[in-house]
Amino acid sequence: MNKMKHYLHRHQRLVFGCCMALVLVVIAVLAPVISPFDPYDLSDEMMAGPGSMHPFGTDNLGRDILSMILYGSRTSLIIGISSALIAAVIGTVIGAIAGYFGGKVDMILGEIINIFMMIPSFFLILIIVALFGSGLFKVMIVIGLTSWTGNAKIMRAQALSLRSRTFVKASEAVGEHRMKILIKHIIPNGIFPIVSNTTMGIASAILMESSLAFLGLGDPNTISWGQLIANGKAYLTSGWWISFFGGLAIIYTVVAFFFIGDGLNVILNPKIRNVTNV
Amino acid sequence: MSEKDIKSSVQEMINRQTKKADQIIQADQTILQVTSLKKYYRQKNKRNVLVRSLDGVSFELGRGECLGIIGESGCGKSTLGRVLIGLEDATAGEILLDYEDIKEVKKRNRKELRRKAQMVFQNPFDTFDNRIRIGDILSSALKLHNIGSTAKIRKQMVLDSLKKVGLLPEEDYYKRYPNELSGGQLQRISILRSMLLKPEFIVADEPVSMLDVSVRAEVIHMLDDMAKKENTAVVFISHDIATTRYIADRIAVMYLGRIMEIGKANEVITNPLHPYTKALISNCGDADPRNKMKPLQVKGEPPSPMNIPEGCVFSDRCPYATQRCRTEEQTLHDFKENGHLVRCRFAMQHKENG
Repeated sequence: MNKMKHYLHRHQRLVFGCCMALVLVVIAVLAPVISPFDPYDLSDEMMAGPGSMHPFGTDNLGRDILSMILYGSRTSLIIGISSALIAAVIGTVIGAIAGYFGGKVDMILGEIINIFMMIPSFFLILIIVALFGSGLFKVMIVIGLTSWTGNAKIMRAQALSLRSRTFVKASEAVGEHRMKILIKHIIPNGIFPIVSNTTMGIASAILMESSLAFLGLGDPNTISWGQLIANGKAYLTSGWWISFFGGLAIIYTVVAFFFIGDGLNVILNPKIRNVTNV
Repeated sequence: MSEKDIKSSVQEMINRQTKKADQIIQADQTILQVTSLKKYYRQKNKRNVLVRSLDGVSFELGRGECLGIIGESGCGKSTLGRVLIGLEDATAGEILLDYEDIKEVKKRNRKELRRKAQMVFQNPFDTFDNRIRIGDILSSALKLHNIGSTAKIRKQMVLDSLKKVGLLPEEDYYKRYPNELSGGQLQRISILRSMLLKPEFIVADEPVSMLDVSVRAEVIHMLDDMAKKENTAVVFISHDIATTRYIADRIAVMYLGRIMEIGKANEVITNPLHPYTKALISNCGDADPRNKMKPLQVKGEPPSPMNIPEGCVFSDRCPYATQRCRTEEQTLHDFKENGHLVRCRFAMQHKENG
């Protein structure tokens, strides 16, 4: 019990973030059960302020904001987690290959990483969505395809340092195929910073999706927080609550995942870990 | 350790040494022929400066023979080891493994070369991936080279070999992770992994320098025994002269990427011909306090392999150096015509002068 208390104290941020994220997941799963109304239901009470009937008020079409936020958590979580995972996989593979094989491969992949870093990714997403239309799935993929560069840079650095370790050399000496060494030794041993970076990536993907929705480029058929804010933009002076609660939800989620990412970073990064251990 | 134990172990050592001296190295049973091997590196920022890590190394290695390679840090010992097993490609020169160029073997079948030429690394704590169990590490090496047809057979082979080298209970070791074992245990497993493939020769790159002194003998014995049993040739790289003398049949002394002296282990140690070897050996401690051999002082640091001196590479530090030494490059001479080669024209004269 004492140990537990100590652990909780030392990793406050991680525990706090996990609790926040857990609440979010429970909300997303139980959205149909706990929502007071159907978020697609148009009622007669349009632009009603927060009150006992509608705790967060209603929007210009009379939809219950609370229900929309509860349902919107599903969109945010799906988009955030999937696109962060896509980015993690692409970044890990490209970074590990570049770092481990080195030489010309590294040069070419390094330039590709740099090109993707230089392209303003938000602009790229705008173009792709404008060209191919929007949908939950497309938005997810597009965000993933444009945000892997950070992971690739981290993984490349990891592979560079792991490459000179004896166990990698020893595996080569035993006759292991280089591709197999990459999968068996380089990636599993260098993945930890990617894990924490990906959790933070979830936060930024959610923000990205909200921004897209805010600009009207989200999927119009799904309820998302960004869309809610965009919707309320026109009524900011007469109905502040429409945008306000959606914004609050975004902040909550981003902070939750940021805490997790930061907490994991402390645990998984040996340099920081050793300092905190003292 | 009681006095009796010490006496018997000393006796054993003496027996081993005499036995070794009696062994006649069979020259016709050559497994490895190295001819003017060169390995140059380019510096990253100064691309026109060559780092000459190996500059013309030639020697032959008999089947089952153990060649010790000694020398200071940075003399190219480890580079030689890596080039020999084909982890790095030589800049020039030829390595014949079983009368076949290793470049050809590598081109034909990379795994075949790996199976024939193995390596034991210096740092046992970093030789294994800490996430993988010892048993899986060993069996995957077998699987890679198609030794043993099923997983069950491979497991049994690994268990047997663990038992053979005294890592008991073997079932226990099979399940352990590398970070749970000590350096000596890990190094024994490292040797075991290399020997499981039954290689023709094995490069041991300072295999005991990171181990506790108390377990060094055990690891050396194991390497020696296994190599003798399988008739595997060993290239034993070390800067520990006493250990090398103990295990090696022949010793080569390296300096600035060249072999300065090569010959039978006892010959080289007790009767060094090259001034550099003399300096190395005379600066070694002796267990016998009555032996008051005066250490031979050598001035300065070894020159950088980027800037190798003209003439004899040792001339600027050699206490006997003459003007001729500084201009004439030296080759290996066999003064006694017994395979004891020395890269110094005046070696026999120094001998007479004391």
